[in-house]
Amino acid sequence: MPELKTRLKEYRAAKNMKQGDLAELVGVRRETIIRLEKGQYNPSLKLAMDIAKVFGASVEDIFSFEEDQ
Amino acid sequence: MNNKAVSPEALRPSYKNDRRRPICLRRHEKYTAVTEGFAALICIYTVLGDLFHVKDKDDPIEIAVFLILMFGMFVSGFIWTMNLAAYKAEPHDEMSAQIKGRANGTAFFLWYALVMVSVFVLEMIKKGSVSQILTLGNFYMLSVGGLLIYDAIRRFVFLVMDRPDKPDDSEE
Repeated sequence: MPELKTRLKEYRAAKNMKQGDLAELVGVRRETIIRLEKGQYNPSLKLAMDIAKVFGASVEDIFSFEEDQ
Repeated sequence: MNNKAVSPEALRPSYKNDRRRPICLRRHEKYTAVTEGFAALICIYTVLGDLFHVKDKDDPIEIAVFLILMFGMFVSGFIWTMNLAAYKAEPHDEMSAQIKGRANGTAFFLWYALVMVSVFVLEMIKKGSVSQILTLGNFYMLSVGGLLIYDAIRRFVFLVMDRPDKPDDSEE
């Protein structure tokens, strides 16, 4: 099963944005952002694109999948 | 899905227009589950009371237990309704909707197991008690109690599944 890797935390820190602010911007709960940052939740394409838009990046910049060894 | 747009102005219009502060989904689920739990216990207690204490309606212990359950239901219900009046309930997002779906399935198995265990225990205590409970008079309270218990279990399972693994240290 490929593992979700995310650079969400880096992007958020670069924008000096709180988890709650990002959650509000993309219309999800803070818990969802926490799990996304830990790679414990695979976002829908819509949510991934909304997050990418917030940071002015592409979805692939923020989210990627790593194959298991 | 609530993530309809990125812009805060366009985001969740009905939610945004409500000027009340939001109450987080987890807290809302907790209040609802506890209130439902008390209400369900009252229904079940009434059914079991009819079964085991038909001639002891004036038993002070029975009255005390009933009063405690009623008091618990009113207090938790009062807190629940006051919170709903003061805050707006946070809507489900895609992750919570997904978890809620999983919680439904798990809750059904837990509820079914609880029903089965209750049936066996009741039959062991008093033979024929289950068919006695399933009379028309008791059946209404039993169905309401059963539904409330299922919903309370569903919400508790959701809260367990939705709980973050450990406190997040990254939040400012």
